[in-house]
Amino acid sequence: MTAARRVWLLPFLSVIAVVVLMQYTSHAGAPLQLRGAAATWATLLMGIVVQALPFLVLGVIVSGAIAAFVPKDVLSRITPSSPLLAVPTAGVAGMVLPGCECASVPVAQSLLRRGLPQAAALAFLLAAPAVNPVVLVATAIAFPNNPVMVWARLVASLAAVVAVGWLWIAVGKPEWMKPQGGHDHQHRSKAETFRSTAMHDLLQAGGFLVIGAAAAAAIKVFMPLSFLGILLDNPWLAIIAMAALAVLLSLCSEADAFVVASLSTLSPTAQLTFLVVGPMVDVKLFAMQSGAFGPKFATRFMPLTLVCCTAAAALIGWLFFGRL
Amino acid sequence: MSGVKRTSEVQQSVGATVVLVLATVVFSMVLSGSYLNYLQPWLGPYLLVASIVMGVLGLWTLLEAAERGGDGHKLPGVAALLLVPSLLFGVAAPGALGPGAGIAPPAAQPSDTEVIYPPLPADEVSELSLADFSDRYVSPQPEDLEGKRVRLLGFVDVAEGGKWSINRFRVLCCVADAYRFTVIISGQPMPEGENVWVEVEGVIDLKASGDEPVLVADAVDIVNQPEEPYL
Repeated sequence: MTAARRVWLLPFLSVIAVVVLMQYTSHAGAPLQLRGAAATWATLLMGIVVQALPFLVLGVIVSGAIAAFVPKDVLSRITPSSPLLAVPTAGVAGMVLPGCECASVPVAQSLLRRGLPQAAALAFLLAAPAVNPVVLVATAIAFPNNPVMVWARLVASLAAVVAVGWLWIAVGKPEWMKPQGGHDHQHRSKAETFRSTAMHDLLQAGGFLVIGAAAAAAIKVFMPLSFLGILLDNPWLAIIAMAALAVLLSLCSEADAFVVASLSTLSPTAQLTFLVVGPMVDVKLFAMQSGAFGPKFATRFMPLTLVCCTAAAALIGWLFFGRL
Repeated sequence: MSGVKRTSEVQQSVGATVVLVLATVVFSMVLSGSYLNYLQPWLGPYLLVASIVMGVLGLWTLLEAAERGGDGHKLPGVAALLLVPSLLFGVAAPGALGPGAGIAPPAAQPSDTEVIYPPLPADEVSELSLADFSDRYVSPQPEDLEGKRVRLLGFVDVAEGGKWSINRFRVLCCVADAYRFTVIISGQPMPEGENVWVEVEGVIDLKASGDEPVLVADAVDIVNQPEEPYL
């Protein structure tokens, strides 16, 4: 077999096969008929994956561009040398990427490979989906009667990001994160670096996105979340319940404000908790972080983030709304 | 050609295959409109662009691999999972959320926006979405609905106490954030069958209504599932 044939044969046949399969399914009916919970699970899985794809593709394009066009070590040079300053700087820089967590994982990974200090890259990872302009506008629209919510979300999210970054500097060990070497080898051209990085990140982050989506969909179908409702009477328990709900629901950060705005019997602080936790800690993100940075990292970083987010939301909520 | 290089170019071909299959599935999902079973229409163009970018990346990778062999990147094993949504769509084509899905946030309550709705005409039938009808019901003046004939569209499901209901989901981004609106129907028998969509005409019965409004129906027409199943 020639090299060209060895490369082209499999994709060619696979694409033809899947086109034939889709044609058959749409005309003769699906060979596999899903019912009940399985059907709901499959629809949710498709929804979460397909909705995340545009953001994921944007993320890997940015990640490829960083690998190709940002010279090595320039990031570590322009980053403030004091980590106490680097963390908030990276957090504020995260505001400019209008994506969800699916986009920020490959981008943060690429920034790490290009030499950005770990705590700063993690601050970017958390801040990008939490406080970008799209999310803030969506929050303003969802809370027409409570414009303070937008400011509370911004301040509490940034406070949580900075707290996590600084704590990670204090207690985190670099070796918890799986090595991000990636580019010790040279590519022929910048274009080739771009292509190979984008492709690799798409395959890796995409695979873990599917795991996260499958888990999040299963939780929605099989776990009765209504028991959380009984916790909502006590202001402290309501904050904890909303933090748990944010983790379990894995909503995208553009939609979560509308969902929580409909729970108007909740205190604004409990609503704020949902908005601060959701974009930084959830089931889908746990899978993607485990893939990018290793399970050892994710099992330490995610609980830390969850605690910081909940505490920041409770504190800022108390300051901004005057009650828990 | 060395053996190492050969493995890598085959790995690249496998990776590109996974991406191209997904791009093909997503592209045809947008063209056929079946993505509306999973997402809001406004995400369609972004999905189309994403599928084209994935297609270009896949083809570019194949060209490079055929021309120059491997690029030194190992294929992550987890990439195989990207085939799951493609094959699931090809084999089972999961449909819109239906009666089985009872997804609602706990203790869901109407928002406290003080919207004053213009009164419905008294002498003609008003076509309302289930969301509009439910919003009017939970507004400060549900009495405005009294005596007004409305026509509502939704899918059939059983309700508590041997009753039946029509339902529709509101979706903001994707089905993960679906919120369900329900109206209990009385006065007409429940249509038989699976995943039945109906248009129901009737008048609200405020006294019988509780958490969900009750509509006393005098006509139930079976219709096709709308192209956009979600509100």
